[in-house]
Amino acid sequence: MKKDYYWILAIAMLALALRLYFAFQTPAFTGDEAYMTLRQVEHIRATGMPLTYDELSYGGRTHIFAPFFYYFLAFFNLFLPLDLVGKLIPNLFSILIIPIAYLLSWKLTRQRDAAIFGAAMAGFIPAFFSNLNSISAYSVVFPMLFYMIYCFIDIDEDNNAYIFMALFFVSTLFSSITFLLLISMVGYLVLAKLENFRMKKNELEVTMFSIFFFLWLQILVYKNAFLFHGAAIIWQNIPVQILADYFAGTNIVKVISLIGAIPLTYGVYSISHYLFDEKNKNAYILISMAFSAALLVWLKLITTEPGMLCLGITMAILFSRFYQFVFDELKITRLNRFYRPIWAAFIFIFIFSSVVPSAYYAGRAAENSLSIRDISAMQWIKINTPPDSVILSTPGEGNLITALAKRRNTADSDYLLIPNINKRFKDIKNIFTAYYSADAARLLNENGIDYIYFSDRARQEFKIKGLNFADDNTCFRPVYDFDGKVQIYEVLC
Amino acid sequence: MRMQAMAEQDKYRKNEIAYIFYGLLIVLAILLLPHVMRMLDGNFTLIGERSHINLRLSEMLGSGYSYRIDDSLVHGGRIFHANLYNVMSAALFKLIGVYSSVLLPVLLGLASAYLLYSILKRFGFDAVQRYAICLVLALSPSFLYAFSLSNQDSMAIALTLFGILLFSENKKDYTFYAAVCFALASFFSLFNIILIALFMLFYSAGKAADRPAGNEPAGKNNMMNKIFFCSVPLFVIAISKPIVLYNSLVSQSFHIQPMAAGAVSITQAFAGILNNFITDLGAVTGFGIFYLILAVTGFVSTWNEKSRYYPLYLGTLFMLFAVFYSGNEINAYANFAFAVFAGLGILRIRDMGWQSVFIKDATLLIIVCGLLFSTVSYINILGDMEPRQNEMGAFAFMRESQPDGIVLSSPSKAMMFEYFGQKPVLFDNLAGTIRNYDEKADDANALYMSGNIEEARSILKKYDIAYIAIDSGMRNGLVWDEPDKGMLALLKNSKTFKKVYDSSEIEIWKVNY
Repeated sequence: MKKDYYWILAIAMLALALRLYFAFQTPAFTGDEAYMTLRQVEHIRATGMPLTYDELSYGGRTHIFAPFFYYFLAFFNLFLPLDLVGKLIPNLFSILIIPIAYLLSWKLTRQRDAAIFGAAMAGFIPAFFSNLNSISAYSVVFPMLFYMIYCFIDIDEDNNAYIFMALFFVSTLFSSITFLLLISMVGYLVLAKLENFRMKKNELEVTMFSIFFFLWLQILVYKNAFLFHGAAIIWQNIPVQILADYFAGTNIVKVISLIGAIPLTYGVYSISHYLFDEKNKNAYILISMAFSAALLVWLKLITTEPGMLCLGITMAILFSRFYQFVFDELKITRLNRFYRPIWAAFIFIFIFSSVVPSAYYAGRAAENSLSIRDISAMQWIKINTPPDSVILSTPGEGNLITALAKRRNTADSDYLLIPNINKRFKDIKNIFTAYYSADAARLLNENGIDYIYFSDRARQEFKIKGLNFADDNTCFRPVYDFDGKVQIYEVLC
Repeated sequence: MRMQAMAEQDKYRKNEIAYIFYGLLIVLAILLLPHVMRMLDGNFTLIGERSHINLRLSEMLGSGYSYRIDDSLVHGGRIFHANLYNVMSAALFKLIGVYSSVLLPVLLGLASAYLLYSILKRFGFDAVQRYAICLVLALSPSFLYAFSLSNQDSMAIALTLFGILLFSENKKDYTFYAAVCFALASFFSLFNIILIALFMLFYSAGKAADRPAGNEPAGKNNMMNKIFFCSVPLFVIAISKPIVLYNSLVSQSFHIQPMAAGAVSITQAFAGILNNFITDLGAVTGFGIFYLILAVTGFVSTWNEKSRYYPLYLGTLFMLFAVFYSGNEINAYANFAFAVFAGLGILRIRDMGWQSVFIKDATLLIIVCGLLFSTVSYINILGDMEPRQNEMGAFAFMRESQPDGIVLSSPSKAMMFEYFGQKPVLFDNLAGTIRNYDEKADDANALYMSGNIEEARSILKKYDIAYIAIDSGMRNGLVWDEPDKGMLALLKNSKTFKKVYDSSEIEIWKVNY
């Protein structure tokens, strides 16, 4: 067993090294939400409270969110610089999934090789590498979710019920994605009932506690958003123009690339094995988790990222059962003499289908981080524009404007509680794609915009090469240009 | 021994009376809270549109109108038929003025809570179950809506409950009084008649199921006589009076909000239903999420005794259907059935044989907090309902300084123009009472969206509209989502319209033909 720990430690160190290598390839972060996170942490460090009323976002709005993740990062920011916290802490916590996956795989198989292989698979889920530079709360929440599953399986032992409750409490304050676990627990109880397994009282009790606690906390935190948006809060008030992309449907190729061919294929095999051949109660909660994630992604109730993360980790753990099955069967056949080559083939396939795609996604995450051009432009805005200026950008760049340039944005990616969001998004799109300067000027004035930040992202998002009205120097003055890739225009009329 | 038993019984009765008294005090406090919150906020008007239409009817009845009230404050006029609620409200209005609209529903709420308690006792629920059910009922948003606002349903509910209590007693005199209660309740709408008829049907069926085999005739005739006796007035009222199906005001129809292309329609449909049912998601007359979960738990827990609960199951099912058909104000009625299930649900959770006392206590604490939170949140919603203090200026302006003329406004503001502004409106939210409502609504929509002055003028002339009131809600998505869309551009650019009043909430434009 001690030897196993060394293996697990080695795999975890390898995963961490790979993650940190790619994370530190760039000084910037990927995605504007990372910058919102940094801004929240800075605010907590300065005032002790999260930023709930934000006068820069949408020209003044209220943010509502579960605040624990920001406090969690702010705690580490007490002794580490903020940039380092953003790079290091999420990656450090995300590799905790490896020992947790080992424990779960061990529960399923009671075989060390299989458990170690399952843990390695879970540590190199490509989907988990795609967010390594985004300061994502999922990197902390998902290890917690799977440890809760571990506790749930042996809920009667020691203080597992209380550990489960404590973790559920904390993780719900980190992210509402604990919803996935709730559905899985209910699914598990249904499956166990259908298969006539005797249910432990504690299982039912913690499930009940979790359902009521989750609902209560959501109502408490998101009360205003619930009243404002109703049940449509599921879609986070995302403008209809981009909603379909945001909750994008997924296809099998995308799923394979995000989860890995091997864990997916043999995870599915393990599910069918547990459902139809071997009745194993421990596996049901994992099967239920996989079904919940797939169902919610399919119904477009959650985004692809957490869905694939959850599915990938679950499949990797279930894969350990397939590994066990293959090598147990191998031992009683003549093929046993090819044990080592077959094992090597497994390793090769694992590297090819999990490690390589993980590295690819990690590289892409680093590549998609904020470029030096964008950072310079933000610095320029911060220094050269009046403090109360309103800057137009794509919603995906809104948090950069508020976090780096410290100026008001027209829109950002937090759409909750914003009235008439579709009109606002339509206005932004119409300005960027306007043919005539009069149309653009009317919309710019209507929205009180002083500067236009025009980047590659706007080019891609609105499928334009440049601003058609930019030649009208009476109304628009180019004030900044970086290699023709990032331009800033001042609005004069 | 007998003395001891009597002393114990006496003690039990005293305790029960004390519990009922404290319980009613809690109910009273809860029902008054929305008014108190509103007053603390500086708004001394009644809550909601419905209160104002009822107040207007009370005033008209008090000033000499008869059972048939002709209302001239809507285009084309309309006729109201006064019911017992209006009569009592008018009588109280003479004594205490506008406060009658607060006092009467609150008193009816207290009476309804007590009547439910008594009915539960009559039907064999133990004391803890009765208290739990009544407490859960008092905390429910639908109960607050029905008995905090001046609402005709409050009287209909109280009469129906009283009738049920009397009907279920095995005394002849009581049957007569039950028939009177049912008859009075049936004046409110066809829905009330059907509800009472179904109660009698389900009750008699339940009684028949309870009776041991081979022991039929004696009770059977008695029950048939009771049902016949109580049904005759219902039937007479149903065919003699021009009765409405249900006079719904808050017509939160079950339309599905348009969503993005690619979003899944089944989830949208489900979201639409939730929005109309759950007050935590913004429904005006619905249930809290915790309340609903408890009701479902209670429903499941009673399944083992389904023969006892069949009448309640069927009654609930009928009311749910009625909600989809006639609007979700019927939730005020369904709420009483839901309260029974929710009360039993919370007791079921408490008594489910927990392994861990800590988890049990934590879960129950969260449930209680969840119920309370829904209630407090809903009290705030009620306290913030129309009319708001910053709108009153517009109504006063219309009453004091403008000549009579038809006002076109959003339906939710129309009743305020009727009551406070004393001006006739094109239409208000009482769709069922307005002639050619659909045509008027379509024309108003066409007018709002019209960018053509000639088209706009022809619609305005058709109804002789003299004023157009535009509120902030209309500008912010209810009608327009852009500042210069449709009629908004005409208002700015045409000489046909002249702005006569402007505030942050409401602007009023006069039409010059």
